[in-house]
Amino acid sequence: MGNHLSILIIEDSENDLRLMLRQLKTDGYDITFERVETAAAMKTALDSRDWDAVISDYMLPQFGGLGALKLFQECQLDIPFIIISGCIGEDDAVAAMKAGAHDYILKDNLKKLAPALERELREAQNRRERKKTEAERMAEHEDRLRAYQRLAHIGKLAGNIAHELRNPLATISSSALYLEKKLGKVDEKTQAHFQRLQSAVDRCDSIIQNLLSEARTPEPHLAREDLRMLTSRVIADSNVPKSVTVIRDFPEAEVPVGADFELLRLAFQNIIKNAVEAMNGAGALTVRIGAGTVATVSFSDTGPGIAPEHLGRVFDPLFTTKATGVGFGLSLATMIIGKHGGTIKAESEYGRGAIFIVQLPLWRDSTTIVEDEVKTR
Amino acid sequence: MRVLVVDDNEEFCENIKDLLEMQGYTVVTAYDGASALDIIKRTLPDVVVLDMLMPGIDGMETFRHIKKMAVPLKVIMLSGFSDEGLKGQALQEGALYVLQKPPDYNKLFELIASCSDCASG
Repeated sequence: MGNHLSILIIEDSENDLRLMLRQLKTDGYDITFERVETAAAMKTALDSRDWDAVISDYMLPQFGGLGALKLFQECQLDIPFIIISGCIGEDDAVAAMKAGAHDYILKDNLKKLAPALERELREAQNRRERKKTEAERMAEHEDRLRAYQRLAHIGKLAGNIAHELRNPLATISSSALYLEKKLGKVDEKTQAHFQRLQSAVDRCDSIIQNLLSEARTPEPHLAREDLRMLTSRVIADSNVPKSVTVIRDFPEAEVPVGADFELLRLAFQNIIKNAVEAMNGAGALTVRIGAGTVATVSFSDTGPGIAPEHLGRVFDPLFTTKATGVGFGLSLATMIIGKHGGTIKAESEYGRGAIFIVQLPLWRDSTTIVEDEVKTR
Repeated sequence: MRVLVVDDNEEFCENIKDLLEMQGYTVVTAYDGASALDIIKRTLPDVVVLDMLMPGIDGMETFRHIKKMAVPLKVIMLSGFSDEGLKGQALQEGALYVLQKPPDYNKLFELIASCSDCASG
């Protein structure tokens, strides 16, 4: 029925095993099991198939319950591990629980085994579900960011293409107009040629217009966020290596900004990633937040800094000095921050680190920000 | 009336010059922001037709320099991008008009003519 379980049992006594199985059967479980006595056999058994739970004797001639627990933990299985013992002292019980056993049962109180198993199986199931939900949420988040990154990339390319094409189109249309005016009154056929030129230019222009509107990056969904909280979470999520010391200089009061959390996180992550890479993975990153008429967050690193001739170009798409970079991170950050109504700039004294300063409008109330957004369109 | 046309697309720049000369304007061209500023200092045109995106000192920067000179001239900007933000910025800072490339030539000529009214009046 639904109460079938496969259990790995670490136990040296045939008799104790029989008692345990009988009790579980009485409590309605149909058990498939394998009994092992050594670490090697336990390892082989854990690797060979899926188990619903592990039950281990505390005292074994070959190795103890704690040794079994350690081996179990190395396998990183999220299933119940229950210790049973003939005579476990309180200290041993505490040690076992501290080491991560899910429960311990005394052999003269085996009727507690089934409820403990049931509870721990349910807990393990809950943990798995939570983990799965969390993984799904992360995947969804990653997907959204990847999609945004792709759209932003396409948007930039489309913008560049538009500019590159509109210039020659402008030359064609102005030359055509000049010829038309210079020639004055022309025959119908010549007139038709001028019209064809003009309509071809118009057609190209509308294709460019369509391309641009298709490739337009989505607008952020702004909500009130505390810049300190947001920045803290980004730092925590950024996998900054231990060799980089992160120094936070945050004000005590809330710094409210209008932010699309995920997008702004993407922007900040790129700035942090850039700083960490600039420091070759070791140094100090100082993140400072301030609030005046606008909110400011600055990221200073102790890397080599930016050469003066590069300073003006670090935010350009496809600009990079790194051997492996594609030069998109900071330009994406710039775009996202721009869409938040903010600005980003870089300052650096070559040889003495770089500082990236982001300014964002302070959140006043929901309507104000929306209106400002519309006004700049 | 004197018109200065500034665009790094030299062919387009010369084309606009030809079209405007045909209408009786005196036209000078510059292919970058720095030479445009130099020409403005020396010849003081009435109207500047200014491309927004140029290498070196770009259109917006050139425009800001012109404003600092405090000379009575009108600036019409041309843009190859459809960047509404930049367009709004230019208008807010006092550009007479922002036209997208390829421009509506009638509109461009109309705007220049309107400046000529100002200049003579």
